[in-house]
Amino acid sequence: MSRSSQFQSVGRKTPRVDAEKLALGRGTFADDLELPGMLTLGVLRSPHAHARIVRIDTSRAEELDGVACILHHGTVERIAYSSAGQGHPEPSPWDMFAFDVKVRHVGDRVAAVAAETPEIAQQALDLIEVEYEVLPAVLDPMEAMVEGAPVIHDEEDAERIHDANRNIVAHLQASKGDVEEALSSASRVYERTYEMGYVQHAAIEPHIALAWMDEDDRVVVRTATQVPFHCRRILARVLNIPLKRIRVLKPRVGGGFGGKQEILIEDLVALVALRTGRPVRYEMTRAEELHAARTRHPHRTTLRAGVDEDGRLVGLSMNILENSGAYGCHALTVMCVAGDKALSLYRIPALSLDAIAVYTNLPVGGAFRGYGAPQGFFPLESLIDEIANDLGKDPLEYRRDHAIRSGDPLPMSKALGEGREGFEQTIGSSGLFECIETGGASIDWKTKRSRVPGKGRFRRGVGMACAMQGSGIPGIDMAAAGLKMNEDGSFNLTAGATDIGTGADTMLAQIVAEALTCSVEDVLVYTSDTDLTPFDTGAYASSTTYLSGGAAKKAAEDVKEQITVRGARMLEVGVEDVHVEQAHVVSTDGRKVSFSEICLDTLYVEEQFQIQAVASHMSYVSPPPFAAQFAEVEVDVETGIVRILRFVSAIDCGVAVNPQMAEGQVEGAVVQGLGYAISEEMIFTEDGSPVLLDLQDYHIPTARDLPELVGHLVETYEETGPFGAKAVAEIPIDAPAPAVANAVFDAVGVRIYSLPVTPEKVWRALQRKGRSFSPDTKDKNRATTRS
Amino acid sequence: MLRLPPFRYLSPRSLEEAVSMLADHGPEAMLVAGGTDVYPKMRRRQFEPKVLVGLARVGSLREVRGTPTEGVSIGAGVTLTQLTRQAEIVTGYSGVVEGAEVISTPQLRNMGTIGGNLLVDTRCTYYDQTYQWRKSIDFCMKKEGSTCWVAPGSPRCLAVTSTDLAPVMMSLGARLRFVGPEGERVLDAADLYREDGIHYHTRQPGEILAEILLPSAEGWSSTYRKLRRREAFDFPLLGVAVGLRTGAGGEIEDVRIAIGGVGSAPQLIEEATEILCGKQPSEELIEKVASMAFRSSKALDNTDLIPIYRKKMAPVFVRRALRGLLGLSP
Repeated sequence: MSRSSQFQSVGRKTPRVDAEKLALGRGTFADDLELPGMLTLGVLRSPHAHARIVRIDTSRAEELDGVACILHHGTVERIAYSSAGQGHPEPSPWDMFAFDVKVRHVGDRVAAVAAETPEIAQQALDLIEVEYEVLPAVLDPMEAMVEGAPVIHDEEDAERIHDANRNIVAHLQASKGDVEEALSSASRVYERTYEMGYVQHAAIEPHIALAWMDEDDRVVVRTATQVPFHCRRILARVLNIPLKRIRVLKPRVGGGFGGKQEILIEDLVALVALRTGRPVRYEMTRAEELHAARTRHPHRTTLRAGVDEDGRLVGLSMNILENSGAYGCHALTVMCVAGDKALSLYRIPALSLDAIAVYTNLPVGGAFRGYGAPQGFFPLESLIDEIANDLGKDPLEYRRDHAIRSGDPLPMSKALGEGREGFEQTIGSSGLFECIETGGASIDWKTKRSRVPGKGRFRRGVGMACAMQGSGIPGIDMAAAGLKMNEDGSFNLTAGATDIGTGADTMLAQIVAEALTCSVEDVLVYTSDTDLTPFDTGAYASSTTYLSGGAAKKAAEDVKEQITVRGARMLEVGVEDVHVEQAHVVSTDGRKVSFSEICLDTLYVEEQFQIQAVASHMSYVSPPPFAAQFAEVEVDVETGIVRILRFVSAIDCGVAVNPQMAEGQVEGAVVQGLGYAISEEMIFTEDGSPVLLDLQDYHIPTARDLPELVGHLVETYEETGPFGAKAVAEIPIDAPAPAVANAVFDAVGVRIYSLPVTPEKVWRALQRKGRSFSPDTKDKNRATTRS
Repeated sequence: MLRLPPFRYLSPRSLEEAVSMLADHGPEAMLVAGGTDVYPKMRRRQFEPKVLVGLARVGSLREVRGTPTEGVSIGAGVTLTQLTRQAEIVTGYSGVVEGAEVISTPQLRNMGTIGGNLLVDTRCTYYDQTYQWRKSIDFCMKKEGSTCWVAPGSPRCLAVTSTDLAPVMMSLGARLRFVGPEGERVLDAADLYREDGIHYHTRQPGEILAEILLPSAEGWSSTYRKLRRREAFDFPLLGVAVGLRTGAGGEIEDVRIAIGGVGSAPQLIEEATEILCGKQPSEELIEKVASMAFRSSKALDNTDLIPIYRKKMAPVFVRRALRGLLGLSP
């Protein structure tokens, strides 16, 4: 019997606490608020990848009736900051300005107009005259580092750029043992290079923010954000106003996936509200989302792995070249995660990471579900598969033989913290082996791997990949929650936690209900209001269940203690003679008093006080959730078209607080991961202009493209988590891409080293394989292994 | 994206009324049927009509008459969804059904019409960008500008034909009936299209496509194969339609192969008809025709997936379509 089965509220498929209002469309999203006299904001964006603004003339726009406010570098204070939306001290460089005299990518901000209607705003943007001095642009990260390349950040006032003159945002090195020694004594060394391109979050709700001045002359920002508290802190800096003058509210959010960690638009609406005193609204268009928001960082990664005579891995080195685009948002920390997660999954004695992030004149990288881990695991799990095949071993068994286990130290956790030194950690709970077993059985691995390759046009294959993530950023992330009791035995939970469609509010209610033995309906959740709720770092790094849930549990336990004391007193027995059960305090002789009676007693009868508590939670460990994911594909050998027939995920997220929502996270992440695997890529012209600016052409998977999605939650009990829980939000996106690429190899014997696995790449590889004696100097990965 | 600009919407009840409204407003007017192409393009300011003549209430445009034996005429306003369900079409013209059911999404097929698809605007990676994006660089020759920004130096517009049903109609030998101020005109489907991204069809400004006339399906079979990245939503990156009539002895009596989605116009591979007609089908003949499809596919570098790949896929699709219709193993 699983440990979660003893719980009343945790581990149940409770309906979401926000389901009804979402289903009925009751004024819940940022855009559902219509304020009298609200202005509309529009942004003029750079048509050039790299240019200096020589002259900007807004006089004709200003004369237009209905224009309320125009912002550009001449009218807005120049303050270096980062839009990355991270904690303090921020690991990303301060290399951007609300408006600058330079533009660094197509879509960079030039000016903004707030006007009475969207049409007037657009007309005014058309009337702004901008004279650019177009500068040479650099689009390739390798070229960006070459001596004499255009310097993208030549401004004097940026801070904490690693080497601005060489366009290097950040450089990171870490190692364990001596990799060079290990590789030189290895019996075989494999070296492969992998490319992962630009993809976009494509949340259905675009970035949207409203701002207005309240009756105390404070600016209120209602925004679709993942980080209300970071938003407030960063706004105070970039607007140069006291933090106490700002209130940030996060309503329901229609998907974030990391894209809404960025403080991308809030400064604009806040500036307009402060200047005009009027409410204002800005919603990014889909075209803006697809080139002026954030992306997953493209990586070019070279792995070198050595095996001994028995085929055991003895050393692994990872070199990452990261394209950060025009700004350095999350550049360093994404590489930390890519290296930390990918290098930790297997027991390998010697490890090293050398990672460089560079600026280019392309869209800006940012946080994106998985946060570097997908860029780490595509190379790692492709290579492990290749090594296993090369050694004639079953890739499933080969993985299992090397996999990290409960009690093992996390080898890179100290070296690779959040852009600074982290903390020593040891694996607590691990269901990785069960995930591999369960998933393998579910896809029928053994039978299907031993299938004789067909000779027909359509060939089937199965592939797998494993992954691990974390649960919050250890030693850095903190969450707090407050809980207050009401006369009817209900509770107000106030938390900084940020539900962005993930179901976090429901999870918190379940944890509080579990701790207090009350019903989920008796927990009224109010979250993400910087005035009224306690602090929380926000919804990122898979932290909410583990940390915010931990804070809510602590607050609930404190409240439970207070309830117990008063209940015992009312029952005229000692606290040791009572227990709490089904929202009552019950004495050993069977008498009981209800939560409602207890609250009435504390509020009105004697020694009056409010039963309430505030609790904070942080952790020096970040227990990894694990995944084993399996794809069965069918490849059309004449066209290279890959159809995914079945996709199985076996996920260890500890105890799933709400299995239905956890399954939803798995399905959603797999869909996004399959888009990364086969169809999604942002494409640019030679000038750095984006080509795919709507969802007609940017190919997120449609329902027709999706296979049967099978999810297994493999339960473990994480002792440090609330009721055994770990994280679930990111882990399922880490391995779909390598699982699919490995399945393609199983089906047709070609390896695709770059994402996405498009029909033309598969077709080309098949053509090459068909004439395998023809020399191909271009593709270094064709070089045979050194033995 | 911008909101729709103001415009006048006229709602004629007959084809004659529609023709006269169109004539009254001249170049300021455009026709709209399902609106799935027109309205998004108005929002992007690719189309800027002051007046829309809506065909939704012209009842005659939604009629389907005839039988597969004698031939079927389809009103230009018949929706794509209806095409896939109409008994006369399902029983006789499977190429039409296969072509219609892979257009865009169910929602858009419920609105979009056969006439709208046959005349759907050509697509281009530059021209299809937002107004603001195009304005900030420069407008192109297809709309307001003078240069082709996909291939500066190109004397003509390189926008790509994106209709799935045009190759189907060409493969079936369909004829199109237009009604205009001067009266009626009937032309072969193949004659509607031109290899020019801007002037991609020969419809006269005052004309309305009234009917699609399918010849008798007696002895014919037909099919359509589409290349795209996803299994829904996407326009064709290559579309191959084949209509085939075989005789009692299995010999090919007549065949038409048409290719869409590669150049600015869909095209018939006429040599294929010459090669195959009157012959017993064979591996060699099929391969010969397939390689012809490769040669005649002049794929433009102006859509998703690289041109050489799309060109290489033309013979694969032609081979599969032919083998499918001939009942050979795929």
